[in-house]
Amino acid sequence: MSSVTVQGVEQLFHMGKRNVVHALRGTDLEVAKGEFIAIMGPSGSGKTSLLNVIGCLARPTAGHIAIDGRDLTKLKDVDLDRIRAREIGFVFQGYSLIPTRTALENVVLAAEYASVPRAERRVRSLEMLEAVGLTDRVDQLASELSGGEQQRVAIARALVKNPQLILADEPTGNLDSVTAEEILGLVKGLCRDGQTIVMVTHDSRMAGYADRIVFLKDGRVVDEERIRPSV
Amino acid sequence: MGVLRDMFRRKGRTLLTVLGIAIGVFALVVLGSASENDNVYIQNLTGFYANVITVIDSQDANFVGMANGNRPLTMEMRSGLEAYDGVDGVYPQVSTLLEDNYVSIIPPMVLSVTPGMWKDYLGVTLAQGRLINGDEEREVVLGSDIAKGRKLHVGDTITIRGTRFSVVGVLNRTFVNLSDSAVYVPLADAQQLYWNTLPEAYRTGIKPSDLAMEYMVHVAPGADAEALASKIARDFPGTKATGPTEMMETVSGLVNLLNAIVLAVASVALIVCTLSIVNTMQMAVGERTREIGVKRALGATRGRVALDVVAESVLMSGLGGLLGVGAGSIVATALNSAIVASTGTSALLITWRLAAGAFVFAVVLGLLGGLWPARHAARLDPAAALAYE
Repeated sequence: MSSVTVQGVEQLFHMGKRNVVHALRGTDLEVAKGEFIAIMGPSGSGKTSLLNVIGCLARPTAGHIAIDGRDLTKLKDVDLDRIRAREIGFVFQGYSLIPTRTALENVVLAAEYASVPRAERRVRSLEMLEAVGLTDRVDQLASELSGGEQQRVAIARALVKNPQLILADEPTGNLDSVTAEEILGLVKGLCRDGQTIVMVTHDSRMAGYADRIVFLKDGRVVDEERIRPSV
Repeated sequence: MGVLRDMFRRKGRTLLTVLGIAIGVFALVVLGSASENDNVYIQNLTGFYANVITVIDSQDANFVGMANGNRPLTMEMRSGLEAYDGVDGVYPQVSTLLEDNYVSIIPPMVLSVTPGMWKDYLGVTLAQGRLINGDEEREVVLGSDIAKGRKLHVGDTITIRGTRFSVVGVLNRTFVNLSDSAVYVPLADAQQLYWNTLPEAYRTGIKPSDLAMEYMVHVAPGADAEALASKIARDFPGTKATGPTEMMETVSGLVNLLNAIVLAVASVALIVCTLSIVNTMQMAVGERTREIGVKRALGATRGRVALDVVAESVLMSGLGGLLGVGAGSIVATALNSAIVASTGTSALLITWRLAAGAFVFAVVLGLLGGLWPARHAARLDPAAALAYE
């Protein structure tokens, strides 16, 4: 389990010479170990930017981000790579599998980046694909899978390294409502070990799976709603 | 396997790039085989000429009497040359063109054999039959290329300038064109053949048995060949004595020109193929920007992302290299067989050194061509790459 602390984070993007976008404006957020939070807000409110800085994909312009007390802003790029590889599982909206690799190869790749011992990579990947119900599709190219199947592979890929923090950016955005509920049920079911989950979503029904919903507007946390006590 | 599938995502583009590399390597292999043929020739000739002084008439600019323009020396010189300290053997040489019309730089020659001459002569070994000593009549030993080109074996006859000779031996290949395309005849027969080619005015008053076109003076191990060559030139006015160093400089000059041409072709191939790979890989990186973002999100380091790109470009160039080396070797070998059949002289030679060198060259092209796109891929901002549509 990981705790996440976001303190006064600013994020600026320079779009051309004069246009500066202020994506995050002094954002503060605390996520407890094992907590599942959903981040909601209108387009351009800074949801994905916040997820990116928590996920070590971007460095904030100002402020501090800490995972389990480690200040990410003080770490080198290679250390951030290592944290992404070993401690964080990402699930994206567009599935984002490598189309020329099979379902199994996509999962094995994440295990490889996470430095899972070579002998265990395949076994663990097969176990994860079995857990998401894709035992009979492991050798199928990613490009040949349906949207729901691809997102299941993406979940298996995120979880194969047994991460303590899972970051999901609109994980059900491209799915029909039935499949979306299945997928989210799957994520929650597989995260019973108490992983911390931060999910960005537009969909209030999906946000209902979380312990807490945080509302973002203009790069700031403007409200939050506790749905159930965190683990 | 995954890299191979990535490479063929855009089949047409990849195949065109591979084909471009293959054509560049093909040209390199075919041209290189001409250069290699001559390089091996020089290597073998260097060994042979390391202890040989060649004596010709000083008015003649031709190289080792290979062309038919030498003014004859006389047999009287032989005893004078043999009298020097450090001389192991003196072999008068008489040579004529096998035929007057030829298309090769090094045409098939009729070369004389003097008793004792075979000792250390270009390291020749017999493929068939026996050698001639030099005092026989109307017997020939054939170089390997001329025998192969004219389909001649021991027991056959060959007509040289109107005179029939029996083939008594065929040599193994020495990779010295002069030897491989030569017809070796006894000295007396060579003198007669040469005498027949002389102008009428020159023939009167000179017997065939007095004629020599050049002397090959074998120097004993440890003796100073260069000093001896200078001494011979001083003692025999009107002659030119060429020592091992000058001989090899003359021959190397010809081959260096060919090597320079091959190097120039290789340089052009290097630039064109590298640019082609850069273009292909740069486009691939552009198309896979989001995928690179995903890999970075999964924890791939910049180095790992760069490695994936370089691996793909090296695989592409390696495949092109294999095709180019394969096609080049087949074409050069077939071409050489045709050249040997029509001229009796080998002109192209595929060696492991050339094939391996051309393949490694292609792989290095891939490596160089992949570096820039790899650097670009590695420097992509992960968050921006993930947002790329």
